[in-house]
Amino acid sequence: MKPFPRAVLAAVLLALIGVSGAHAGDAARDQARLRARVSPALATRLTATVERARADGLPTDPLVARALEGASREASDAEILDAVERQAAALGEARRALGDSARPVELVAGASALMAGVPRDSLVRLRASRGGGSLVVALVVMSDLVARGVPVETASASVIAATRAGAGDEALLRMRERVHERIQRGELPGGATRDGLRELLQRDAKGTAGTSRR
Amino acid sequence: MTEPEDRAWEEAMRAGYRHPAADEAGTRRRLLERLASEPPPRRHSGPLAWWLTPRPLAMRPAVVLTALLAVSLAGVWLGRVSAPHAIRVTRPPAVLPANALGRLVEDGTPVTFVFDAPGAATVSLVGDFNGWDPHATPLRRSASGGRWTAEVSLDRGLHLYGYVIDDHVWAIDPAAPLTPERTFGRRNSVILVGEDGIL
Repeated sequence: MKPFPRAVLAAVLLALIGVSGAHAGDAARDQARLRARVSPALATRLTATVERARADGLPTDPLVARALEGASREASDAEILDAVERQAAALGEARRALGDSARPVELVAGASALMAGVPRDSLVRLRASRGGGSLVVALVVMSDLVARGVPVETASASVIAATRAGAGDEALLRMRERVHERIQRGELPGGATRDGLRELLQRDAKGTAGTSRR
Repeated sequence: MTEPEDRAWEEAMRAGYRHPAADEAGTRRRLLERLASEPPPRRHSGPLAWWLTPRPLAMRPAVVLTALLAVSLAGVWLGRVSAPHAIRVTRPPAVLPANALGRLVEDGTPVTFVFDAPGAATVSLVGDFNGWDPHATPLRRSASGGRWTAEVSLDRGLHLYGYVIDDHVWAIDPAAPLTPERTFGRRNSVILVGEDGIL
């Protein structure tokens, strides 16, 4: 039987302790940021939520930022706690929809879309339409359209259709600008979005849309 | 006992030890049968066998404690510096209006936020990058008076932000994308920075 190499054990031990130490540093930083801005009781409850999210591998910076935003907006403790818990739940749901390989920024954008009422299935289909490519801009555009009054179904279907047609991020951003301009001119948001998508697809058919699939 | 009797007793004892006990053969058989009926000891096989097999290990406690302490300190340091930082430089513009969604900037490259508020006495920038602190990033009034600007270094990622006018009125950036949710009764503006050199 070969003797256990001390170097191997030491490397494993060091790696494990390094990871736990890094997490401890993140946790201490988050807790300090919270305690500086909210009551100790709320900070304790928020820290518990943040640490659960960290244990689940979710990004925690957006949760702390949400709590700080609530403090600056003078929201009540209950409102802040509710907002942070809802966002933590949305981040988890976004990861289930976008997959374990989704990057933190994609989870943040996906969580925002979900909280706006975009169905989870739309995120799944969006992921399928882009493969491993980044979904951040697509999700931001989808969420922005919803924020501008575009019905959720129209917004999600339009962005998914555009990405399936091979529209890259720049094309999606141009579509968003066109839709925004049409809405400002008085068009109904749903119709403006359909027109924006049609314009993008027609340009794509002519080869002038500058679309690209990554 | 007399001396001859002692010698005879000793000899009898030795003889007893020299010869097997009458039931030794049966005892040996029962012992072997019992052992045969016991399940064999579990042995690991495959690529993890080496890792799963118990092995003796000797380390100096002082060395282990020192290593634990050193690595814990290193881990805490890593945790402090592992906040979103490193980014690939993708596209050159060094200064951008905030509403130029998705334009790429080098991590830490200043982004100029521009907001028109002719009648305001003060305007400040709030966002996740400054802890939503209304006092952290005041905007400067331009010479013409109605335009307010601030320059902020942003890390890569998606940032939410807004403006606070005269210390109490919260406003969005009218040209930037919006978050659809109204978490605390209001929407926020969105800016994307350095998204993998794609945009």
